[in-house]
Amino acid sequence: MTTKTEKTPEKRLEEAYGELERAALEPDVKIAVKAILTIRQAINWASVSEEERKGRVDAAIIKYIRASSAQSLPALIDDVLRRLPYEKIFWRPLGDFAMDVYPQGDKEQWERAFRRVREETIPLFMISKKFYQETEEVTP
Amino acid sequence: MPRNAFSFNLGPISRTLGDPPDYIGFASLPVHEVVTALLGARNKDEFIDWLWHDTFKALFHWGIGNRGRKNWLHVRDGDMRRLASAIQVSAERAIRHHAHSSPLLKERDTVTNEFGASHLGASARFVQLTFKCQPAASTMVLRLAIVEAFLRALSEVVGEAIRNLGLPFTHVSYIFDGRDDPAWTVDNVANQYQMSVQGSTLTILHVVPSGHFGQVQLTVDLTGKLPDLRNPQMLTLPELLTVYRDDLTVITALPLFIPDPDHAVTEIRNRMATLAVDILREIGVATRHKRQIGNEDLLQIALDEQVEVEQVQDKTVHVLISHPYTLMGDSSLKSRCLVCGSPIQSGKGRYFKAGKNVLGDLFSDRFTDLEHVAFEEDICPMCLIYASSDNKKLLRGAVAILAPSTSLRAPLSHRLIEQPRFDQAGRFDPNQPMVKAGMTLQELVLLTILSRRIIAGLVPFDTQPGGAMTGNIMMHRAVRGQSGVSVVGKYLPYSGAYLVFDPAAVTQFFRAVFLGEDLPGKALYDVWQEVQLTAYPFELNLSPSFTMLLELRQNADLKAHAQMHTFLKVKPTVVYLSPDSAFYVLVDNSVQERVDREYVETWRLLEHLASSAGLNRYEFIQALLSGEDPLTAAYDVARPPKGVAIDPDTLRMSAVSNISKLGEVMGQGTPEEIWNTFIRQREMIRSLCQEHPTLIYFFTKPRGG
Repeated sequence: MTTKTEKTPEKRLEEAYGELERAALEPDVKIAVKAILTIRQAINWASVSEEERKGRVDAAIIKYIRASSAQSLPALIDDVLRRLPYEKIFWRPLGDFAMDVYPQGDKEQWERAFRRVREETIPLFMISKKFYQETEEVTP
Repeated sequence: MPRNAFSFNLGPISRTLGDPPDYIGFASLPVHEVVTALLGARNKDEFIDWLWHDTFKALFHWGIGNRGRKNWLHVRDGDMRRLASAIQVSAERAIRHHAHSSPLLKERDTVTNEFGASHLGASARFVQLTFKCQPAASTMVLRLAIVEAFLRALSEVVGEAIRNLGLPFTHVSYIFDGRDDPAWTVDNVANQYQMSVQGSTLTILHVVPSGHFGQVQLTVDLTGKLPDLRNPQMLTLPELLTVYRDDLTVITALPLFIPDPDHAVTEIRNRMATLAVDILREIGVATRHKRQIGNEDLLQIALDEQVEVEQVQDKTVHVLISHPYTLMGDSSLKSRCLVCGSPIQSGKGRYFKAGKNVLGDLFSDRFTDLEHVAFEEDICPMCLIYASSDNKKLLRGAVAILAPSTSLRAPLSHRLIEQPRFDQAGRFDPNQPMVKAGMTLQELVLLTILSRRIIAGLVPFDTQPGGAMTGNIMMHRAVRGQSGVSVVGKYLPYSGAYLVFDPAAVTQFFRAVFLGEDLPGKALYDVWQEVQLTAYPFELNLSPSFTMLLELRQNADLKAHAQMHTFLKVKPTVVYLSPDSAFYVLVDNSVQERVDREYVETWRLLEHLASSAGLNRYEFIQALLSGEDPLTAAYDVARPPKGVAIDPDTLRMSAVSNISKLGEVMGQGTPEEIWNTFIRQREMIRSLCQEHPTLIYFFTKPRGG
């Protein structure tokens, strides 16, 4: 199993968020990518086999995002995490980072981000990988 | 792989036009001289005179004559006498060909030098083949067979007349050699010109005083034999005699040295009728219908009633071109053909026996394409041949039919290569450019010559003799692992028409020529670029044309498609070689689409995306057309091929990853760059798909889809 021990998931996510904040992307795109990062960082990659890493986990996340009937971004994230196999998820507090997916200020931005996650799941997924790759994650 | 435009060089120009002569006549010197010989010569001596009368124009020696007029100083008495004596003829008539007292006919009365060419030469003779029918797809093959027979008969008759002249040669070879020495005078260069008869060839060597001119050789075959496809620098009688050609008429020269023109026209008509029977037999078109009245061959009825071969009387060009419609406007033609709409002689029952169910009797009980036929009760003889259930292949199903055409899309653009060094009068002064290229009879001849060569260059198949009248079009293909060659169509050598009837060959033709698909071992040209014509001292960009009927068999059932009357649903298009060219394609028996360059580029892009991601093209493109972005489309349609054990989810993510790397989707770079690329490309692809929703019909449906 390919794992690295340098960084904790929280550290890695913090870096990814920081990088994302600095990126010249539209605010709703950033929120949408954060939503996907929030889901992906919850994966317990240590419990994911090499075979599964090739696409099954990502495809499962995509499938559950597209299948969800949630009406908001936090509800969508929650919905997906609940549907993913129990043993593949770290059931731990998501931390302050997860607050970014809750509407603040201009709520329209979160509405747009929610629509993006629903309608542009695959492209956003590919972008999210530019910030956060599973092979760089830590098995605690 | 980028393709080259067609480029031709048939020798330097022979004329400037207008008064003042500020227009370029872009027909080359050999074309001018041979066409003048065919139109203006009345006997052997004059024929030879015209073949070389302007030889020294290739010096491009211009001077200022009386009253400041710029003169092309090409009548060089001494040099012309030297050349003439080399082939043992008199030079006197050629020397005096511009003189008022010249015994030769004036060029303006034969090859119509005047700008605009509103009339064909008053003293020249012409014969015109005219179809008294609409240019419908249903009669196209039959019309082409008749044109082939006409041009073959004409070439034979004119070839015999040339043979009877007793010329000491059967071929003329025009050689233009660029040689440059700053020390040479006009006389030095002129001294290098040579003329000789060796074997059966008259060779005329021209030296073009230029460092920019290489060597051009053009050979003219005066025998009337069929054109040689392998040699584009060989001109033959059917090409040089054809003055104008479109779907419904062919106007050709009938030389003055033919002693009895009326007899010649009758002879052409009679031979044409005989040859047409043989040609149709060879290409597999039956000329009888089970419900026809009488036992007479329908071809004969068609030739009698729908085809006219006559010597031209009124030489006004627009009158000649509209002659088919004048014939169709005959008020005695009371009925209309229910298939093509052409006016015909009388009411129901003249050509065929029909009961109450006319369409059922004409076609079959299963005929359902009512929206493509009229509410008439009569059919013309040509369409009755089309309707015959004996006809398969060429009159049913997938076809690619290509025929030369004379039309040209204006405007032309031209560039002066250089000012010829002996242009002392400033005729080709770069600071005083010629206004534009003009069109006369000779340019019309040239355009049809180019059209033939363009078609021959486009068709990606070989030809070989297939019978006494026609050639076979051959395609290499692998069958069960063995490579083989099969006949996929017929070639009509005198008219330069290609008739491809094999569905796989038609598809290969379409993909190779218009979609830019490479074919190993074939030099293919770009159909979306104008043609480059070098006519020293100019280079011109032209948009010549050809006529095409194109029908694929994309998603139709093979047997059903072969029985369908698909020609009712498609129409021939004149295709111009230019970036904004467009043509119609019948995709199968249900969809006709207009294809232009943007359509093709969209097609190529979508195919590229699909193949890069290893996706089923039909499903991927259908997903894009329904509005999905390329990544989502790839994710949705990716599935393992039959018999391949791979996890479907892994395959999906792999397809998405592959396609995301393409510059046309996301490409490489920072997250901002790839996201911006994605958004831009997604909108572009979405816009293209919205503009071309019918593209999907061109792709093969998956089985069970």
